[in-house]
Amino acid sequence: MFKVGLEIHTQLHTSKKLFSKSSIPSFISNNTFDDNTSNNNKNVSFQDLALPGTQPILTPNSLNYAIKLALSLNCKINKFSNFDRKHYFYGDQPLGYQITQHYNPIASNGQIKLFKRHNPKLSKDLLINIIQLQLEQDTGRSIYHSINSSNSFIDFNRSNISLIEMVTEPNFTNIEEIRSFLQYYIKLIQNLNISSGDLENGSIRVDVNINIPNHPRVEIKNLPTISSILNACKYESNRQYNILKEGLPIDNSIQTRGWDGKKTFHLRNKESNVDYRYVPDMELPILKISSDLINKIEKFEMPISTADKLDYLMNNYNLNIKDARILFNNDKLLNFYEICYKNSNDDPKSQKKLINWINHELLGSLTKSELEFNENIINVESFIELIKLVNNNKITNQNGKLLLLHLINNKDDQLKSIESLAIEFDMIITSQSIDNSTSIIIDNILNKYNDIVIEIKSTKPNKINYLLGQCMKELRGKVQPNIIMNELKKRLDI
Amino acid sequence: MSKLAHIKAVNKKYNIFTSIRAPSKTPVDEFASFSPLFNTTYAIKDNFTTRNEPTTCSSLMLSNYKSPFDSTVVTLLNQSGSQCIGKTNMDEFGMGNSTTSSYFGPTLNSLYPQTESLFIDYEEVIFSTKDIGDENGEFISSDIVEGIKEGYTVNKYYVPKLNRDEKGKVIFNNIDSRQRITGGSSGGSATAVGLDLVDFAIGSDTGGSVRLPACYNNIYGFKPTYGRISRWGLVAYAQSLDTVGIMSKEVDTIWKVFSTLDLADSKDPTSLSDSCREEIAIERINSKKNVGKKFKIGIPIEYKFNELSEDIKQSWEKLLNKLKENKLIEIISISIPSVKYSLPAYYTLVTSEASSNLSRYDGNRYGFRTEDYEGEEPEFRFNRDKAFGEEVKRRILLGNYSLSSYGYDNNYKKASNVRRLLIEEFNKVFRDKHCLMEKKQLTNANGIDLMIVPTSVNLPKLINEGNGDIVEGYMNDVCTIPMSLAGLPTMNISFENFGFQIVGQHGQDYKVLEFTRLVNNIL
Repeated sequence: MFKVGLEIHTQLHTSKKLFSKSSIPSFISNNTFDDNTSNNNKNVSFQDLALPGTQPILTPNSLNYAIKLALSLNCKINKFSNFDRKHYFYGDQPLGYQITQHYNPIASNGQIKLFKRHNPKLSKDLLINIIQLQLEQDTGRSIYHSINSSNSFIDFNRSNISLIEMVTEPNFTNIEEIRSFLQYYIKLIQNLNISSGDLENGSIRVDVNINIPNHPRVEIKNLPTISSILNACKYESNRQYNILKEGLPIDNSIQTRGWDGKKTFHLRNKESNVDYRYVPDMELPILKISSDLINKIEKFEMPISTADKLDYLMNNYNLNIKDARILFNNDKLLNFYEICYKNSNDDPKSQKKLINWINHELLGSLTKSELEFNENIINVESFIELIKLVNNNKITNQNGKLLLLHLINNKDDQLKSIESLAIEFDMIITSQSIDNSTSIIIDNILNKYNDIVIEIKSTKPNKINYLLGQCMKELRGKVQPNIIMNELKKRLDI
Repeated sequence: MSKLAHIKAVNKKYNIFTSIRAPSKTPVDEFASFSPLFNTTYAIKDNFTTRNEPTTCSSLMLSNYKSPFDSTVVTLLNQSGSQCIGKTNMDEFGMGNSTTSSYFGPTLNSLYPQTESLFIDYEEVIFSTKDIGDENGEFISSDIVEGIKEGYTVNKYYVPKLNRDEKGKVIFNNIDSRQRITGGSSGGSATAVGLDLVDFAIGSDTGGSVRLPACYNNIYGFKPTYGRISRWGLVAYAQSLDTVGIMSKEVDTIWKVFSTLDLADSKDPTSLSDSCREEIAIERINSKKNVGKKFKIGIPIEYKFNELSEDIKQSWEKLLNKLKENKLIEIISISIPSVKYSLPAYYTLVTSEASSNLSRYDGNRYGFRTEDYEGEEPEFRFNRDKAFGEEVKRRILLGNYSLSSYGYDNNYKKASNVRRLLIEEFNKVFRDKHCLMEKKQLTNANGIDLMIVPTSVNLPKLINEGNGDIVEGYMNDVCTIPMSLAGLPTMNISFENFGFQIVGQHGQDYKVLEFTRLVNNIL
């Protein structure tokens, strides 16, 4: 068992940077530096380059974003906080220091509970303590072309963008907990609309602190995806386990390691780290956050929490967690579901089937058609009528699905009644029993596939489904499959 | 002789300017004649950004740095019809009180003779800027190129051709043996005013950098309340102390310039807000009401420093007696105990802030970049080692020590506490309210209006004496530092060849100006 704490940097998508009026680049930064065509160094103002004579001016919106995150992580928001300077020289650090919050961060002492009922892979409910949230500025980005080139480039588009650093206590004890938390956190910041939450383009960056009992803490940096975070944790805990098992010498300082995709590797030791010479910034005013501002944000700007919303979906619509999550993750789909649900109040049977038709048949048909869901894809009335037709034994389930696929791809037909459409396609179930013509079809199939009949009777009874399929194909869904099945069983005497 | 030729000739002797601006040929705006500063000229210290010439801070590090934007001070002065004639020499990055640590050599004192030229000729430099207006109607240079470019604004300036020794130090062989230091760090600005080259000059005052050179040149030098004049475009030395100061031979000129620059600026986070300014506007009316009444003048016993020369002591008493005789003042003895600890506290804070602020100069994005470097590491260390002078390096090291994990609590925090105490002590003795304090706090109804204390402990040193003991050099700031730590408005006036400071409570700039005017009438 290991202990893991996370440090997550989240880039805030405010309209302006933290301490300058530059807008935030909308393009995703790539890893090349091309003087002619790239967007490098386009969103850069005097402050972002630390030109002499410039001064930082705080963008108030960054503060609101931080308060939103602090509220949703149940943090104590500090009435007074301030900005500090953290000094170190680096090519992409234009000031020679980073403006961050070291002594008095904006928020502290938060906690988040992840429930097993929302995260079936957790073995129990999980409580994560948040040590603090600090507001700080991002650095520029160093770009190295290749080992052979002595040139490196710096893109200052990222310089001065607002970041929130969140630090958790080492509350994670297995991979699933980390995975669940990261998924929760990413969804949270997207839901709060404060960040895109993309790991791949660096909108959020995760550092891991990990150790197993009797081994000192190790910090792992540069983990670009959730799977790299999880794999690095697995690898590192095994590595520490082997060191202890084989009695190898232990490095007692806090070590920083990187991840190359397969293994963690040594970067540096804490002892060799620089003295950051933290000092309160001398010209940025103390941040005073009034309870009025907090109340206003709490009242008007906070979306419903993930846990509350999942509970609401599960309880109100009697959904399982899997279906609830699909709707939770797709606002438009959820909205469609809720309207359909309301409109089928008169037919509890259809209402009950609704979630299956939306999450499986509708999404499945969309995937086949290479479409994404939007409210114009199918109108509510047609969709409900379709489900009712199936439920009322007017058409078979299979034909219902075909009809849905047809409706999505032929929007004009949504104007017609679904029943008339089913008639047009000759899909209406005409008989509730085995009539003469059906009986003849069944006879023909049994004769044609005599070898399969023999197999069914001897060793492979499940092959009866194949015969059923052949019958339904001939009958074109005009008789319900369960009636045919019963007839087949009767004839084959099984 | 044309005005430019005269300036060039005087500058050859006193080495005042880091660059002299070629007079602009743009026609005078017909409405400009209504401007308060119409037809005046000024010089500005070379740590204020301007778009027309380099902004060097008298350092090799920025010797060729051209700012794409003007400082707010420059923008406001230009809008008020005043013309800048050049940028003035200073101690490197403002670090010093003598204007001898400049990369461009020392500036001489206007009060002492200098007949020979220090250098022979000037280099004319031309560059062009593509100017675009921003949303506030201010202009920035979106492109800066050497020489003349079609469609661009052409800028022309002159820089002295200086001889340097193998270490890069400027050689001046002809300095008159009677010459004394001009004070600093705004020494160029003070000498420019002293020699009547301009109507006024702009300097910056962190620990006395406007008041001390004003004192050494027998002119007025005003350091306003911290935050009253925007610092946007003033290259930071120690932001919690840096102020924009004004020097002139005329009180009225200082008054006009101050009222032109006394504006809130959204670009400067430490600029006093409009609401705060509205509150202290009452102060102007009250200062008028005081005229005709006696001003209560506090004399802090702590200012009787051991180092204070006998001549200055006597002159100080004489000044006070004269003002008493004229029924202008009554004198009250006060005590500000923390003045005793101000000097070490100041040097701890100022070096800490400087070491932090100067971290940005790495030669990467702008500024000096060494060419003969082929190492593996980034060249920051080599750029900084070559381009910073001795005093700058010394202060960066001192500051780094104070901010380090082993020096922070014992040095930086203690110094901050001294500063806090000092401000509290000032609040207790002044009658007026500190303009940033809560209203609830009691003010001392029987408190003083102003203080009058010396600006320096002695006459300026002979320039050939050399720098001597470094700590002794720091000691020269002992009179001016407490006002800097507390952000108080302070005016240097001259009396019998010595300088004295008139000090008001935080926010009481107009009381200081009003009183200076009255003193001026008497003396």
